[in-house]
Amino acid sequence: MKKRIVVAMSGGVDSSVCAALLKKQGFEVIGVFMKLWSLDENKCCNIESLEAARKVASILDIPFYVVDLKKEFKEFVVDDYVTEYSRCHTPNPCVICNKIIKFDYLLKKTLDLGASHLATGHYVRLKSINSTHHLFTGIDETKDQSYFLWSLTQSQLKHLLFPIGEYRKPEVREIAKRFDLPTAQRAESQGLCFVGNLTQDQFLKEFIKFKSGPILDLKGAMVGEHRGLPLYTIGQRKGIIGLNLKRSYLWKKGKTPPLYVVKLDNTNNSLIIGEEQDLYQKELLVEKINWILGVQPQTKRIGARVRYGHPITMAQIHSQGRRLKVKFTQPIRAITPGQSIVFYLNDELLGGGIII
Amino acid sequence: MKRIYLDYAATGPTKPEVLKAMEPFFLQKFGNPSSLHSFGQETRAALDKARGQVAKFLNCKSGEILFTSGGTESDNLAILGVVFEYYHQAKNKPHIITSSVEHHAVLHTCQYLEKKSEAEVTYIKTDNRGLINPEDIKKAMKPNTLLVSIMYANNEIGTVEPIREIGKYIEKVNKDRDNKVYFHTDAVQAIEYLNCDVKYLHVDLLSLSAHKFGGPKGVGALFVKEGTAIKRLIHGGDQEYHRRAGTENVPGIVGLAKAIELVVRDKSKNEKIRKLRDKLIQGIGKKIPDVILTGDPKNRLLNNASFCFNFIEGESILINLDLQGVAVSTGSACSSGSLDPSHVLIACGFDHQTAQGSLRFTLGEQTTKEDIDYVLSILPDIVKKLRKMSPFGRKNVGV
Repeated sequence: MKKRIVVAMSGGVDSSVCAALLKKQGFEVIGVFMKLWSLDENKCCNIESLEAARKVASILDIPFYVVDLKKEFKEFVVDDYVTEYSRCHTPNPCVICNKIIKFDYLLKKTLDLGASHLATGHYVRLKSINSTHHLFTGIDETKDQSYFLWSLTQSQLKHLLFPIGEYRKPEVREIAKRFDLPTAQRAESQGLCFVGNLTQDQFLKEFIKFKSGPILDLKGAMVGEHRGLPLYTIGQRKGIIGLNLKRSYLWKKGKTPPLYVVKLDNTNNSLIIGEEQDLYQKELLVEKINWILGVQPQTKRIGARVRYGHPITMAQIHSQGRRLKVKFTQPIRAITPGQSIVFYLNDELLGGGIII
Repeated sequence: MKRIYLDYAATGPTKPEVLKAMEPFFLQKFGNPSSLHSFGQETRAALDKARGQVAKFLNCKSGEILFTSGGTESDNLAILGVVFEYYHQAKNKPHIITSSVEHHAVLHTCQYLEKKSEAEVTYIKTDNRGLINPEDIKKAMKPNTLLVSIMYANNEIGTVEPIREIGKYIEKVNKDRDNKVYFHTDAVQAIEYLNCDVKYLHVDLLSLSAHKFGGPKGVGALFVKEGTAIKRLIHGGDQEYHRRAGTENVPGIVGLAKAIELVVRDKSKNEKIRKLRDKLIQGIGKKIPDVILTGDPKNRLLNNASFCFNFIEGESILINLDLQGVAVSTGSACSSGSLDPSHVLIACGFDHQTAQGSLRFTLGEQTTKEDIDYVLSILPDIVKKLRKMSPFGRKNVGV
């Protein structure tokens, strides 16, 4: 009997090509579309995407089902996102969505349907060497999505496939055209899928009561008032307005330097600002660590990335109980608690964790 | 792969005889019934004949039958039509009594009126079999009650409601009231299997839909008892006694009438369906542990077998069955797609987790013993596999 594979289809070109490639390779492919929670209409899993995905499934002549994960998505992804912001952290909801919604709930559904594997359109490569599963960055560096997949474990990886990781985006669009898939030219989804038509700040306003408080300089002098800490992110320059710097060391006759958010002090509800040079740090602490291979690598010198799309910087890692201390070889700008830090050895994804 | 269809409550195939009756009305007899010429006259005659057939089936006058686009429109017209006409006479806010297990065509229409502040609504609770106690309707009655809308048979769990008893009660109440209480029943699931004599039922309004009993999709009817004041929802012509504008769907209406004629002619097939349904219920009960038969064991549609499978999701069972050629449903087809747990099962008092395990088999004329045997041969394995603890899915590990 042909091996059965479930493909998570979003209606986008990547997952469509993923389904097409697997079908062509002779697998019994089942398309599944996830319905996820959103404030009004979800930017990604809306009717238009559903119809696009269904159309592809019909062209490929594969069974297609809609799976409702709204409740789980709200509970684990959206609620976590709001809680993290209210704690003045800046989370990566896509990391949580991958960990819990796609590679736990949807993976369970996959196995429930008698399939051996779940395939998605992520730009990463999966290779099995002596029955251990290694993850590598996607061939297309500009599209690489390894940053969002650091939480994957061996027990998940043995049921996963990422066929798109071997291609560059233009090639994927080319394949889509060759298969006559209508999604070949669909625009990419961008931004948070669940905020609907709102901006992130408007969305947060629906769930968090903002409390204004003081803006301080690094020496504790009050220079202004902020509108609620969750509205600010470390490294942000825009939106710091109405400052009176006369009592601050930052006061310089003539011209004040550009000022940035340096820290969100949740305990005292104060926003700390400083200059560009104050944004740089050489070390940080990590928690909730996962290693793809199940164990911490022997090597102490590894590459690290502290934000999606940022370059990889070399660093030394030291265990501190269940936490990890990371010392960079050069200072890193705007390290943000709540964001994921992801570790690499060359192009292999070793694991990651959450910055404290 | 052989495909087995066990979702007749969602819809069924149009019967070949129905299709044959409809055929002339596409190519030859295509006239507009409102036209004065011979083309119009022949379709007008067909329309009159169809109306007569439906009226005969419901034991009412031809003039009491309105053709619509289906059950949902009939329900909307019944409820909105009565309420809007009431307002037309400039009265205060009316009160509607309905139940929490109604089809969304009724529930959402009532909720719409509530939201627009055009009616107050009481939703009668049922017992855990989905059965309404007529006493509760008596208790809910208010001076401004205008309409009671209770479904004849439930589309998800098959429970048959005591429509005749409620109808007789309302009739009695009306003798002592100035403002009449109208009684509507959504009989969409009932036509093929239950007595739909409107005089026997004592109803003022009754909805039906052709595709649920061998007719085509997109056509239905509403019985409106003489003297029942309703306001039209669709404007633009004098069709259907000024109550529903638009050129009549002649082929559909002819098909509906033919299908209703066959319902009477083929009554005897129902015993076969009931036996197969019983075989399915007994087989599942015997072969699979931790299964609950939902709905009333006795007062239920003879083609309905609905269950909750503990510990697993109906959705997963459905997909597994579908991949092996067997078509069933987790609830009503109208709410699938959104897999919120069925409002009917929640109303019956099931918790969300149990309600997620719901699965509905509805049999029909073409169902065979082999079909049921096949389902009974594959279903226990599917359930067993799904119940095996999976390392994934936080629902199962309770995180």
